[in-house]
Amino acid sequence: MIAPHGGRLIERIAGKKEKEDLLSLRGEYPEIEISRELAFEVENIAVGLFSPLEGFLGKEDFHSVLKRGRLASDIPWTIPIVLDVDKEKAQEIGEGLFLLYEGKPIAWMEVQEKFTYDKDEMAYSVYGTLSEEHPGVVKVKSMKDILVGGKITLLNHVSSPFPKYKLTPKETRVLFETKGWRRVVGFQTRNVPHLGHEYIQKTALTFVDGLFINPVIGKKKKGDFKDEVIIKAYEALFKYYYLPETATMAILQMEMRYAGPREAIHHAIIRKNYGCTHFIVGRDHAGVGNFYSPYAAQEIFDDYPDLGIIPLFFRSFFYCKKCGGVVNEKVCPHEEEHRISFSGTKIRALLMEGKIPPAELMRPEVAKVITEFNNPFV
Amino acid sequence: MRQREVKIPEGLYKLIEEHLEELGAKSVEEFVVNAARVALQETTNRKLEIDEKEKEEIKRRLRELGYID
Repeated sequence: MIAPHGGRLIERIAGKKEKEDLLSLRGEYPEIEISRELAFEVENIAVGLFSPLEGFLGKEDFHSVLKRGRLASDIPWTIPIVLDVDKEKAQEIGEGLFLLYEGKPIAWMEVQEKFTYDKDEMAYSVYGTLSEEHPGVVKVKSMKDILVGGKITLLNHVSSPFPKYKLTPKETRVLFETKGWRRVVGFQTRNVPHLGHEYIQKTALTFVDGLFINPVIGKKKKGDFKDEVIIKAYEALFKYYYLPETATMAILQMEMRYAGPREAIHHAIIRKNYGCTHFIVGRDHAGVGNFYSPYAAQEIFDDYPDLGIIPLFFRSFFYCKKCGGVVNEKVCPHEEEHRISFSGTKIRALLMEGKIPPAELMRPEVAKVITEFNNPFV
Repeated sequence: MRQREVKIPEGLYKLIEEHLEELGAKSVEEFVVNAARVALQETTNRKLEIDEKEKEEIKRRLRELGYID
């Protein structure tokens, strides 16, 4: 079984006694209500998905991540996981802090430091742009002015609309071991599956023991598919086109950042923590608009020979009428006129009109599930 | 970022320099740093130990959820 990132799977979940002790301190320490997205980050740290992080980044790690895409300890880490608070609240915060979500305490935080930061530097380092057309840049600019670093301890889990699919890295590791999978390929998605996705997944699966489909559940941009649509679409695909012996699915509750190359590394690290040995990186992974070149998210892996998970790079796939199947430019000798591309825009447009995309693009069983939703989009 | 100096034999330095392209590095320094990172990544990684009792509890949950028989 592959080792977690940084060598140790972090687990920062309070046991019964510790939880009681910590909760008895309520009233003595400040409390802040955090967003759903931040609550996801807290839980992801606590269950080890963000190993080796034990909490929100401190100043040294924060600057190291921005400048070098590595923690101060030199371990690869590309996305700053931070807790932002306003100046007034920062003044109240001393050694500890309760984090609340929907009014309920979800974590205790041992505050190690508070520091100011340059939002432009953060946005540019992570997203490679300062354009306000980029949703990540907009989000950074709307952040509060002070960052608080320190270890967290989870007091309560965050509820999920899909509890059946919510697994911790410890659970996926036991799952893979029980299934006898030594080599597991992870597939990140925020989309419903078309035939191009299926082809990539099955091509990768041919060379390993198991396929782990891991849809991101959480805040997405307008026009993306709703979470429940993605889950239902994959359930249909699994039912008709996958073997339970070689493929499985669990959700990842996390906000999409659309940070392209840097987010591809982040996604790979998370799958390594789940126990995957391989990770699929396709065209424009975690990209948005035209902010990143189509294969930038593959090229960045050259900078991380010590990542500890093997990336599997895929070019664009398309359906070729002459080949009679899904192929890519490396294997198909035919001209453009014979090719049907898996254009997300085209598939979306058809689905928006309630039409079933052609079988060369999407499995009819998957399309049927999607069209049963009145509005499948965010 | 603070940096430290490390000495390596001149012959080895030259050999790396001659083969930079094949080694996939832009400089001797980059190659040495990356080689050290890869070696450390392999060495410091520890196998995850989950005790049998916890493993059985996890398997029970996975069975309930339909992941395993």
